[in-house]
Amino acid sequence: MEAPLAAFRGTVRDWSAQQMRPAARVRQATFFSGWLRVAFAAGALALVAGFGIDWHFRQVEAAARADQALLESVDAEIARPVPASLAPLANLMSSSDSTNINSEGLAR
Amino acid sequence: METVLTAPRVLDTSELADFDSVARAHRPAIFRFLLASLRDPDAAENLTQECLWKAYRARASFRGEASVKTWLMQIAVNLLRNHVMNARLRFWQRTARSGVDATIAGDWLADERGSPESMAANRQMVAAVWNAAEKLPERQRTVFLLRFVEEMEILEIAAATGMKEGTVKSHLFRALETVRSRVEGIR
Repeated sequence: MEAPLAAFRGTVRDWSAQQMRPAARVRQATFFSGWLRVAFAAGALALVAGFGIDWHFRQVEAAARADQALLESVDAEIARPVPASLAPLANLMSSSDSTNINSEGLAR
Repeated sequence: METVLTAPRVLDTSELADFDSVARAHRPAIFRFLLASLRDPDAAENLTQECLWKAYRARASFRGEASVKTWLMQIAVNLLRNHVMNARLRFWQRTARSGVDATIAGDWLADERGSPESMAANRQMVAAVWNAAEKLPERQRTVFLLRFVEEMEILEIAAATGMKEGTVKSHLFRALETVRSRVEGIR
């Protein structure tokens, strides 16, 4: 029976070697790698949050600069030199800021 | 003839620390045993994966009382038993419909030396063993395959199957008688 059994063994081994699919990798999770993962995730989150906050403040600064530029351009548009004929009125307006003005808008 | 029984090697538990290596080393034997038992590559593949997964999850609780191969085979034998019990009717229908034809198994004849006549005779013998093994009762077939395909020792087979040594020998004797009568019937 030795020869038939040896032939049978060889046949089964060859056949199974042909049928077997590549093995899936068994990944070993260790306690240490678990903490590494948590630390990495926290670090990544802090990085993303930091970038996000920084981006937000940059946006605010950019908006403030844009507003300032807009105001300056508006001032430039509306702040034209007073015509010579209206100069006395301009002087009157600038001095009224500091003089006594009663409730009816009349100078005291 | 004196039978030499070799006690299983006591497991060094550090061997399981690198489970990838363990799986790589023993997966072919587990798959081969399950394939020879079930004659269904897909089912054998599924049970092999399940066996390795169970072993991976249980590795911390393993006491090192047997060799790694014996321990893995024990899991495989239990999975096979459950698979057969749970799907007995489907198993036999599938074997009848799409089981490996003995003539196909003969195409994988390992030793192709010799004349065409001797190769044809070998193919017939392989087919006879194959058919005889298929018809064995489940426990006899398991013991037969573990002994003559996986070349495990009696004590290892006893540990893997949960049987007593005497029971293993008894099953092996009967299985061999059945296979022998089938092979000699074609000579």
